[in-house]
Order: sequence, then C-alpha cells, then structure tokens
Amino acid sequence: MNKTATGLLAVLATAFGLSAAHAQAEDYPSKPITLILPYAPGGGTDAVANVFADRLAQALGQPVIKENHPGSNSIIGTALLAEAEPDGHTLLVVTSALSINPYIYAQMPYETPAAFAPVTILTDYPFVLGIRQGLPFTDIKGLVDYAKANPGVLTAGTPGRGASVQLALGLLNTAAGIEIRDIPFKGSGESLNAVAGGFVDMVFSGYETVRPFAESGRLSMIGSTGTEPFGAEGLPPIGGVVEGYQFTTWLALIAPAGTPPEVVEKLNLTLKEIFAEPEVQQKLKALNVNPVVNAPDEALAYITAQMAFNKSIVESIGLRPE
Amino acid sequence: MELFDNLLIGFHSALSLTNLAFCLIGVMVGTAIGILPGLGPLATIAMLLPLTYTLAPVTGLIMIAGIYYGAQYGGSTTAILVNLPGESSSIVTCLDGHQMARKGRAGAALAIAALGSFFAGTVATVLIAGFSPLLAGVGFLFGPVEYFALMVLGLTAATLLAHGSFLKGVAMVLTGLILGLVGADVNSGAYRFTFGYFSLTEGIEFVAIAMGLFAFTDVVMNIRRDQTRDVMAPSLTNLWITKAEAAEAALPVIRGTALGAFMGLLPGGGAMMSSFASYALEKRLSKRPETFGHGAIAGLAGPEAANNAGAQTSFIPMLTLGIPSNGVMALMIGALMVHNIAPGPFVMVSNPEVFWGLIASMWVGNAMLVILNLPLIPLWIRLIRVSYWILYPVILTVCCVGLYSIGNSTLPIWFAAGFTLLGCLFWRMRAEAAPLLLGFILGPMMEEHFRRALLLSQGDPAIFWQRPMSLAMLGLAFLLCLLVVVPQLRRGRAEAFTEEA
Repeated sequence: MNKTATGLLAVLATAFGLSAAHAQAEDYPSKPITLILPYAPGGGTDAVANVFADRLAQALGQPVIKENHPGSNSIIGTALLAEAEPDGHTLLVVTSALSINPYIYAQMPYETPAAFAPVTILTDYPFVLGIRQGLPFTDIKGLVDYAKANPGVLTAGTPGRGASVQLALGLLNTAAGIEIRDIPFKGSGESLNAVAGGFVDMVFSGYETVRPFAESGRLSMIGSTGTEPFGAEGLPPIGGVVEGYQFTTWLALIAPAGTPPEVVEKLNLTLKEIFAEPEVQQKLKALNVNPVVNAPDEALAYITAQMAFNKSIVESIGLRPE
Repeated sequence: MELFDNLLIGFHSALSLTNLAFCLIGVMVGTAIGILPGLGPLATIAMLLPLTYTLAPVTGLIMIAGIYYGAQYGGSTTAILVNLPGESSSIVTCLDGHQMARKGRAGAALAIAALGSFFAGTVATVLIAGFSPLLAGVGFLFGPVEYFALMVLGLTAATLLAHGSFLKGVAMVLTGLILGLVGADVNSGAYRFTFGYFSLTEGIEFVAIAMGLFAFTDVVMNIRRDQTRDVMAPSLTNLWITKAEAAEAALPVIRGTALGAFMGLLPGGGAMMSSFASYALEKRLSKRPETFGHGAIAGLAGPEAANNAGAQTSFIPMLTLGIPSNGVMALMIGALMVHNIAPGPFVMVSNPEVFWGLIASMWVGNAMLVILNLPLIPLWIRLIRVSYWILYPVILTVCCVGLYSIGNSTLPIWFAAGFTLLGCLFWRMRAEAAPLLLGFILGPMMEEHFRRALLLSQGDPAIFWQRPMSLAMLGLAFLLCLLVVVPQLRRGRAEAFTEEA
C-alpha cells in the first residue's frame, strides 16, 4: 500500500515536473538573460560573446546582458553561475580553465562538472608558437633538436600558474622529452612583450595576439598546437614533429546544474542556427577561432574528457592543488 | 611629405561631421566623469563599449579616446577647486593646484592646467604621428632587469615625493608594499594573505584604496571641519595668467611633456605614473622646493602636462604593435577586433583612415577641450558647488557605483570604507598617503621583475649590473638616496638640537 502510494506519487511528481518544465521551456525566456563573462572586459572571450550575444537576444526576444566578473582564473565568475537560479536566465561563457582549475586549486567553491549543465561548446582553437629573433633554429624540428642538445637553456613565457598555455608547454616538454624552462608572467601580453624584446625565447599564445608581433618582424610563428596547418601562413602542427602532440583550447556556454533540459535544448538549437549564419561564421573566422556548437551531452562528454587530459598534464609537470 | 599626406587623410576623416560630433561627445563625457570623483575612464568606457560596436570603427575609437584624455582635463578641475582627485592621475594636482586656489589664483591654476595639458597634448600628438614606428621600439629595450631597476628608481622617487617627514614617507611606501603583497604570487602561484577568500586572490582593488584614502577621506575630513563649501570660484577676470606665472610654468610644462611622453610608452606607465614622476622631478629641480605643497606653479604645471602627454603616448604601443599598456588600451583593442581590424603595424597600411583619423582627432579633441573648458568653468563649478548635503551623497553614490562596476562585486566598496578609516588615521598622523599608493603598485611589480630576472639568469645576480641601462638607473637611485638621506640626517640633528635648546 505504502509502496503503491509512493510509486503513484513519484509518477505524479514526474508528470507534474515534466509539464512544468515544458511550460518553462515554452515561456523561456521570460525575463532578460544575464551572460556572465568571468574575465576582464576587452579580452578574447568578450570578442566571441559579442559575436553571438546580440543575435541570441534577437532570436529569443529578451535582452542578453553581459556582466564581466573577472578574477582567480575565472573561478569568481563561475562560482556566481553555480549559485544562480537554474532557470536558464543566467548563463556563463567559460574557457578551458573550467577543466584545469580543479587540479590547480585545493578549495574550489563548486564541483566540476556536477555543478553545471553545459549548453554547448562554442568555439575551439589551437595556440601558435612564436619564437624570438636570433635563435639558431627556424622550425619545430630545429627547436626540438636544439632543446635536446641544450637541456634547460631555452625559456618560454607563460601567463601564470595553471594557465592553459602553461599546460601546452608542459605537454611539449613531456611529449618531446625536452626541458624548456617556464618563466611566469602576469598575462599573455607581458610574456609576448618579453619575447619580442628578446628577453625570453618563445611563447605559446592565441594567433591574433602573436600576429602583430610577427608582422612587425619582432618574432616568428613556427607552429601551432592543432592537428592541421593553421592561419593564413599555414603554420605546421607541432604534432607533425612531436608525435601525439595536440593542445586545443575552447569556449563553452554553460548553465547551472538543474536547468530544465528543455531550456538547455532551446538555447542549444538557437545557438546552432546563429552559428550557421554566414555573417557570424565570417566574424569568427576573422577572430581565427573555429565554430563548434555541438549537442549538450556531447559538450558534457568533451568537458569531462578535457578534465582527464588536463589532469594528466598538470600532474606530469608537478603542479599540485593549492 | 608622406607624413603630410597621412595627416591629410587623418584630418579628412577626423573632421567629418559624425566624427566631430562623437569627438565632442567623448571629450564632454570624459570631462564630466573626470570632474566627478569615483567614476574613472575605464569603467565609463567599459560601459559605453557596446555602443561603439554600432558605429564605424574610427568613430568609436575617436569617442573612446576623447573620454580617456578628456578625463585628464576634468580630473584637474576637481583637484584644483575641491581638493578631490577627480581622476587617479590628478592626485598630484591636488597638492599644489588646490593651494593656488586657496590663494585666490584658482582661475590661473585652471588656465595653467588646461593650457599646459593642451601644449602636452599637441606635442604628444605630433610625436605619435611622427615617431610611432620608431618609438614603439623603445618599450622593447625594457626587459625584466631594466624594469626592476626602473621600479627601484621609482620607489626611491616616491619617498622623495612625500612632503613632511622622510621617515613617514618610508613608512608609507613600506605599508603600500605590504598591502601590495595580498593575492596570488605571479611566480609561484602561492596565495599570500588571502585568508581563504577567492575574491582576494587578485589582490586588493587599487581603485578602492585610492578612493578610500583620497576621495572618501577628504569627504569625511571636510564634514568634520565645517559645513561651508570650499570651492574656489575663480572670477572670469581672474582666469588670466600673469607674465610671471607663465614664465614659471613654461619650463615645467616642457619637462613634464617630455617625461610624460616617455613614460606613456612603458606598459603600466601612462598618466598617473607620469604625474607622480614629474612632481618628484620638479621638486628636485626647483630652487625653492619648500614652496611645493603650498601652491608652487611648477608643481601644478609639470604633472598636468605629464599626465596628458602620458595619456596620449600610451596609445603608441597599442596602435603600432597592438599591445595594451593599460586597461583603457585593452578595451580599445577589443573595439578594433569587433570590427575585424587586428591592431598592429598592419593597421597603418590596411586602415589608414582609422590610424591617422584617430591621431588627427586627438589634436582636434584637445583643442575642443581648451575651448570648452575655459568658458565652461563656471558651469563645472556649479556642478561641484552644490551644497555638501546634496553633493556628498551623490559623490559617494557615484563612487560606489564605480567601485561596484569594476568587477560587478560589492567587495571593493567595503575595502574603500576600510581605507577611509585608515586614511583618516593617516590624516590625523599628518602622514602623506600618496607614497603608499606608489608602494602598493610598484612593490609587487618590482618583486615580480626581480624574481623573473633571476629566473632568466638562473640565479646569477650579476645581470643587474651587467646591463648598462639597469646599472645607470640603479646608480641614479643610489645617488637620490644619498641626496635625501644626508641632508635629512644633518637637518634632523639640527632640529633635535634646537628643540632641546
């Protein structure tokens, strides 16, 4: 009797829950959507968010308000999302830092990925490797040979502890069996300056940040961390020389865990349409990022796989959660 | 004559009706936010950035640039008339500008500030146009070693900046240095003094410290003192500078322009550092350093020229290499990227109307500011002359909105409140707070560069004296120390004797 009652209640609850969720998805969005950007204004995350935010607002018929909450390698903004009402009216654009931070910081204010409902991976792109002028090599093979012959001599600028660039460097060191020393900087701009000035030997960074320096002849781009020739120059993949080397960084749109699946689905479909527009494609191409937009479950699987991948690199370069 | 052709393209673009209109809007908004303490150009530009996306690239940039250098003008008006730094770069302007106003020379102080800034702006614009490609290389001569030496020199100068006791100056710099340690260490990633709070990992917000120590403390002190407003209203007849004043201002303006133009090129340099450095320089060079802090014209004219020159030349690394030297420049790069223009040397070739249009607009904007500012001073005064009971809540509210908008968080407001208490304490102790701010900024940078230099040299300290530029700057810092310490010891002893007698 008791069992039946509970069973009946459960069925009723599910049915009611489903219909409520349906109603929610149909009404959604019923108020302006807050889009949290966990970085300072003016960065690459902003640039991509600008490409789709206005179109998303038009398509959903509600304003999309961007809020920058920078700090702690994106943790501050991400924590705000984790605490937000899971109704789809608060969303976050996050970088691959999401899949690195759990292995860098000891006391995380949220669980990854349990605290989130990924909507989609938005874009992905490889880093490019820029080297300073006056080095005795001009390609990846030369670099690896030189580094093997002179262990610990070469230096690379990275934008601080736990940055994906630091992981890209760590992976290169372990995959090629070489030792390039890590010189930490505050942000990628400073590390690029130091390479352009000839104080540090090389830097991994986004294509658009390296290009101005390469065009002025201050440094040369010799490869990318992707799997295919990249950019207007057709930069060769590092994986062509160092077997198995690949490092991709990405942007994802995520909602708090508990957001109704119908709402996530609606957002996902809308974004798919937006990212298929030629104008949006063109804008993303100009930023040298690759539009992705996959299904929510694919996005979750990708993020989980990236977490395992980054964990192994973090451990191999001797970083511990602090 | 290529430069002439380029400038022609530039003026053609800058003088179009739309661009002139947005230039005017930019400088007006800039002046207004400069006048109101609390709201900085960075917060304002961040708020207005989405608006520029719908404009043509050059129009958007012209407006942003107008806000940025307009704020430098506006900031000095508040500093002179109310002794509140409207803008962080006008902290120094308070020292002597307000003293001039107290002596009934408010009009002259405003005119010197505006004309000095205009001169600096014009020279800096010519510099940007003529030497952009060349000057971009200067920043590259500075590596970790050179930066460290520069910081040492800067901190030494900061202690000189304190008027009053040398010992209190040192204490203030050291306090700033300790406060600067809060947050994640760049080299190891270790957290210092964060007490487990993630919000503290980026360090204490600089604007919160500056606002608490200067703007809020002043508000509290003014309420405490009396309820009559302290606005120094210049009559229009009073606006003209005497010949003697002009002569006294001329050289500091030229020196300030040169210093500011150079410091603007350095990352993290820009307007505020330039004004501090110029003040220290003028005080050193002055035949009557005792007048500084009591309305010395050189102490107003030099820093005013320097902050404007610094604000202008900080565009050079951004325009020629796509490197932001400060937050505003990072936003400008963002504005360019939205329009599919990659900032860098490439812009000069691919979008000459953007590059040269922006440069030409800077000169146009500077001219507008002078024309606008001198006659509009009565209007601006009315803006700050509103009674205390209306004005202070408004200032506090606007400041708090500004503080909140930095990271969309209330934490900076709490910090500003805490630093207001500290500021009142310092005020009671007659200790100048400006060196604290410099210690706060330069201390962590110095440590960062020091450790990076040693990391690069694999621990060999010899690199600090093997590089000529570093050696020269460290030597200069040492000499400055001697200059200060030796007379201080002597004077200190003399004072001790007279007190006993």
